[in-house]
Amino acid sequence: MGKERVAVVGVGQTHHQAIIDGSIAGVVRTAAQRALDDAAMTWSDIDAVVIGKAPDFFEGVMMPELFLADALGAVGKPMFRVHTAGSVGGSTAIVASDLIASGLHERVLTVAFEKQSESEAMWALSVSMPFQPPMHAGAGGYFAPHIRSYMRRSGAPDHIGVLVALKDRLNALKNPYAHLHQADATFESINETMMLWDPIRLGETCPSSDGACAMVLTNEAGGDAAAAAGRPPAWVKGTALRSEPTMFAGRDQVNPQGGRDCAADVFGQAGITDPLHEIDVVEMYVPFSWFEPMWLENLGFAPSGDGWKFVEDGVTQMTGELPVNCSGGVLSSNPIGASGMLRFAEAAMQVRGQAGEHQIDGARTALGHAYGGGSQFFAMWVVGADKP
Amino acid sequence: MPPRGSCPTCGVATDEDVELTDNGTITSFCVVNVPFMGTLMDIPYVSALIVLDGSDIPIMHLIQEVPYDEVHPGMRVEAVWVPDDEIGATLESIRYFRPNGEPDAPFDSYKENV
Amino acid sequence: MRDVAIISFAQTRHRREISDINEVEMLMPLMGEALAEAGIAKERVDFVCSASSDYLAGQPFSFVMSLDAFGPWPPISESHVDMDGAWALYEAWVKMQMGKTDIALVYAYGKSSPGNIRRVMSRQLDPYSLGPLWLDPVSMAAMQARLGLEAGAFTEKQMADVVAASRRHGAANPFAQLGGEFDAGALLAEPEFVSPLRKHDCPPVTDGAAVLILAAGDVARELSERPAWIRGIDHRIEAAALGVRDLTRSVSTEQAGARAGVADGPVDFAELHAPFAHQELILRSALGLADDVTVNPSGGALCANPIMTAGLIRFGEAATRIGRGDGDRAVAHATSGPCLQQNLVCVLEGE
Repeated sequence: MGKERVAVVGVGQTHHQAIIDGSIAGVVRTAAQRALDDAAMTWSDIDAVVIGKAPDFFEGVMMPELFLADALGAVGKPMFRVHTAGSVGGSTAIVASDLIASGLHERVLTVAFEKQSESEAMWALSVSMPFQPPMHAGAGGYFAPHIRSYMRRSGAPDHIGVLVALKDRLNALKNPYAHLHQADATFESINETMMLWDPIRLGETCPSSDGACAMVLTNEAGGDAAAAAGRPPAWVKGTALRSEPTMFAGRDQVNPQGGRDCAADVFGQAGITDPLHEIDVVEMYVPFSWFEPMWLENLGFAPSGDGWKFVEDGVTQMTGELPVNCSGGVLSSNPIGASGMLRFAEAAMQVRGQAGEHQIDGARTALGHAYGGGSQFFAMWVVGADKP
Repeated sequence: MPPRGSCPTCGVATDEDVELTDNGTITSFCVVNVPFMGTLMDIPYVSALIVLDGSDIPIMHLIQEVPYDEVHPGMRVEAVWVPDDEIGATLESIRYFRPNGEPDAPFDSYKENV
Repeated sequence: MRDVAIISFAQTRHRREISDINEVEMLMPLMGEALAEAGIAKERVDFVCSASSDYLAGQPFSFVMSLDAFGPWPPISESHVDMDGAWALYEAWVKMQMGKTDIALVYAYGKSSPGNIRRVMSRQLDPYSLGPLWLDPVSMAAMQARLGLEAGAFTEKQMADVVAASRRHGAANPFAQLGGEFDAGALLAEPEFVSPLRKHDCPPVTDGAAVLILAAGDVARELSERPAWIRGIDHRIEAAALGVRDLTRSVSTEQAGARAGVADGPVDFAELHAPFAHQELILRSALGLADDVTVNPSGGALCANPIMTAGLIRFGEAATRIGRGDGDRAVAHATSGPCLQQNLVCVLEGE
């Protein structure tokens, strides 16, 4: 993987909600402070800061790392800002991990955030390209036809999307940081919500959230010290990035090659040959419920065309063989820039045993997954309780 | 289609223009029910992926002149253009697509694009 | 640290307005040139990192389409920063330190012409306290220049000399937008633009792009006759609030320069990303460059300033000159943020 082992020794996040009544600096600092506290460190212990977020149009601030330098204790340190669309939270964590794996720094703070309430997320996602009429009404409108294609290719029954949404919304009740806490969610209540972009219902769609996530990463010595102090780290066993073009002849947008290649790379690094049995818990980026069966196939957990059966059979429930999105996932909280890092962080929390009520007992190996753009940017990591 | 100056997988300039008809097949679609800032359409409206005859990349465009619940993959459609004097080098030159009356295309003819 | 070198570089002929082609069309020929100069096909590239600004393009996710210029198929390992290309180079360099990445391609682009660049850049500020004032980069640089002049850190004549030297160099650079013979005295006679800055003390508005290829160790030696080796590289950031910093010096450049080891050997020339004339003087001082060290033989940002790209171009220009033997050891620098808030310094050496 690199010259140095990388350990996650601190995780922090905000209570995600539609509008966080605070400044952008306050939002990121809240998450960062929690991560530092979790790591039993202070700002001065950090060597470098890596921040990530999605398009600046979501807040109306260009290159926010500049004005946030003070709030994140970065003055006099290297500060870096990553932007890879929806996968950014994941790729940010990977850049931070690289800074340690390369031997360049010993302790890195990484933060990802979005304060979507400052702007209008659907507008920002629908700004028309030159020479094209604005028509697809946000990300949902872009993905809906491809989801319809998956349903057709796989022969999946219509209710699969509702099952995923119900699972994630009920899981979120066990996550105090999640945005949506719908204690009265039922199959019927979700099924009866209006179709936004047929076949995607309102109840099967992520919210628009304000929120931030932060992690403190260290080298092997830092990980050992944390373990010795009774704060077990999550060890990074593999990281991978893949990108492919938006549109080209023969592109499979339902089961993209980039996702398959990225998964193969990260599993290879982690020494995993049978993902379904060797991965204990998955945090994957599911903003519209049908992506769960699609990604199960893309990541190699389920054979092509069978992802929906895993959902129907309860395999991805917390009580199932492969729990997916115990945190409630993107369906329950979606501060876009942070969502990828939340997946990576929740995976780390699981193998550290710090996921509280949504903890999977005995989880020792977890996958964090993020994607962005037109299903074209992928960032993944595998973390474990044991040192690689 | 859409026309572009380079091949996105090879990164080399394209140099040959191939003229296509403005008829194609719907490969997939969705019905948009959500209003948002900047929308020009009355809801609900249908946006669909359409692969034009002779091309192999579906483009997204609007479907009109048909009840939204009758739209389906395989439906054959034709473009409705803006007046000749308004045509420019933009997809906005096509106002929308509508059924062209032909029988549905067989699944095999467009399944590569689903 | 693993030895990594710049082995090829390509840039547009920078212009006030490149409106007949889009960003992908701007980048594509440069990709071809850079790969050809390195003698490799794109399949040999292990990692791609790009830089651009969504805000500048006026569109979220603007960088997504530009990746088509490389042709990312089969799917590639790739990342993007919304910062100057020099930081994309840094990210690629870090990746290469880990051992698996031998060749990386870095690209950056910026089209300032479609919008009002001064207004766009004002969105970089703290949105609560400074953003609503619409403070633009020229006004802020002018305040910095005023502070420096009054503190005696530099003189107007020195600023004029910087411009004259830059334009003379720019005239010899086929890629530069501006260039020519100017007399410092005549420059000083020009009216003020945003006091105390004159128009020529400010960067031009530019559209442009650049592509650069990095290679490690023996791979670099295999592909290039004279690679420009990265011997030291570091970057630091300062506080955002202008009033908290001493704007007459560049502390983060001093820090980065020290960590990059600038003073460890003689500097034959330096490519410094100084969008404003007085900033070149501040940077020169921060890096401890002697008066006889030539700065910006390319003409620098004063002769061509494609946003998000001008920093990367300094690296490319320095590497090209080392490659053809115009010097053995050079400094390349890039800046980001108002009044030199963030700075990246690199020492390049030919073998």
